[in-house]
Amino acid sequence: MNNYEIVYIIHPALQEGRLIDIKSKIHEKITSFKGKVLYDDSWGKKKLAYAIDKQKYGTYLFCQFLLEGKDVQAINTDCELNSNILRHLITRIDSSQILDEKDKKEVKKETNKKEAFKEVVKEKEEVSEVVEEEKEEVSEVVEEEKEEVDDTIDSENDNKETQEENSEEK
Amino acid sequence: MAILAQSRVCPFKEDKDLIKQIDYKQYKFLKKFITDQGKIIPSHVTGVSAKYQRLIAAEIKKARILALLPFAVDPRYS
Repeated sequence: MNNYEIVYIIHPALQEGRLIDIKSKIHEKITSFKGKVLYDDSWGKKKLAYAIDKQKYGTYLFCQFLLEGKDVQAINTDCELNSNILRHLITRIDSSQILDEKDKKEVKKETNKKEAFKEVVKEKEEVSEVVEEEKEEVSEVVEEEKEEVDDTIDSENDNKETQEENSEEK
Repeated sequence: MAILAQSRVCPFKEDKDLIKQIDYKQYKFLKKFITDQGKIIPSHVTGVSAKYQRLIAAEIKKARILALLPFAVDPRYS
């Protein structure tokens, strides 16, 4: 007995009910060969990287199971003959790669984490905006000071110029 | 998109946790090792060691079969 996993893409036009039919048929086939379904998941409707049978979208289903090596061919031909399955891939996996129900929850948690991360980023942006405003204020103050300094320098220059002019006049 | 070799040190030898991500199911991670045209980037460009380059190439090809990654992208139409 070996561990396998199958990913199959179902035609996007099929509704939920018929999708479950196809899924349950494959599961029945596995159990009829004295196999065992270990993990079952749906990746949902995704955009395909290239069109398969003129379809741009497809529903991805994922399943890990335990089965005798010689019976895998039967499931493979089943998938090939089913016209509603656009594409499928069966791979042999190590027992350490078998996913648990916990992994599903982890995925949900990760999405939550992403949302939380976005919120944190937003907060950070707000903070940075505040900091920028403060910086702007500070820079304005500095500019004002600079202007004052410039004014004094200008006035000094003016004085010098006037003095020079005066000297020239003299 | 692509990781370019600036240091020429294998990223998988620096961070062992990345090895778990070489999997056709995590196709978003594998996107780092293909060009915009969809070609697999050679290891002498990315700096990946031969051991992990073999794994990456195999997993990218699995992802291509399942239409998770493209075989080829025409830059004129994308």
